[in-house]
Amino acid sequence: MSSYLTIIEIRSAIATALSSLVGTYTYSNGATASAFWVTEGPDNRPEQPNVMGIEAVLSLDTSTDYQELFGGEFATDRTATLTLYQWDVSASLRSVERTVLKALRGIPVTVTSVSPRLVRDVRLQNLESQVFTFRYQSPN
Amino acid sequence: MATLINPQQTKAALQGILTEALEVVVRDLANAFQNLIEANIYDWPNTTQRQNGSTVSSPRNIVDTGEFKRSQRLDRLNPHIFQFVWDAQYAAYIYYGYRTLGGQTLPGRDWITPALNDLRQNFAREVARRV
Repeated sequence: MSSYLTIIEIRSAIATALSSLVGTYTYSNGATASAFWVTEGPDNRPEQPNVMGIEAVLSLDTSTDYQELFGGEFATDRTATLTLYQWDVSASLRSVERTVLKALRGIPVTVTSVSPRLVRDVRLQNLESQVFTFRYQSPN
Repeated sequence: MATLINPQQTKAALQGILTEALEVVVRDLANAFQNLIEANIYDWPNTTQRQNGSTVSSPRNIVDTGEFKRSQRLDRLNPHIFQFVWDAQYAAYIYYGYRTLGGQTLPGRDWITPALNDLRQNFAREVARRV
């Protein structure tokens, strides 16, 4: 794999890297899919499926920087976030951080920060979550 | 004309300039964070009832009881390293956002990054003023 990634390549590489970690979406028509969602803006989904286990949401293009190369070409430094949500309220993301960092090691991305684990809070009624921010280079 | 340069004095003078410039920039940064917390610039999908009974929708700021805003703390770790801390209970949830058990996504509100954008320029300006 080159050190430049198209959006399609990065989606595919991360989906593969996390395949053993993420749970399952079940849609209203009974269809199931791996609980991995990719968004390039606000997370507006046509349908919120039922989720079992861990859901991974990849938000691309949260910010972009341009870098001038020789010959008048430009490389694009993009920032993206990967957020994990634990839908199983009896389980935790406690042991997942190392697994994700290991999985991302095989992909040409640079992890720039990992959030604290945002544990469930009775007042917020939230899912436990953790955010991984990373940079990658894309050719355009 | 000849000028004698004392390296020790020059070093001390430069350190003084850099420390002073840094202190000004950090003070301005503290104000910038507070201003960003108070600014009505954050998209919000809900109408929220505040502690005082008023309601707020989008765009909104990050002030309700004021506890989070007041929790900003500045620690000086050494003469050249400062650390900002927001130790209110929900600070990380505000910054990163969260998702509810019902599936609604409440977006993160980043009051930090915009304040850091001009940091280098501001530091260079403060140094230049003193040289």
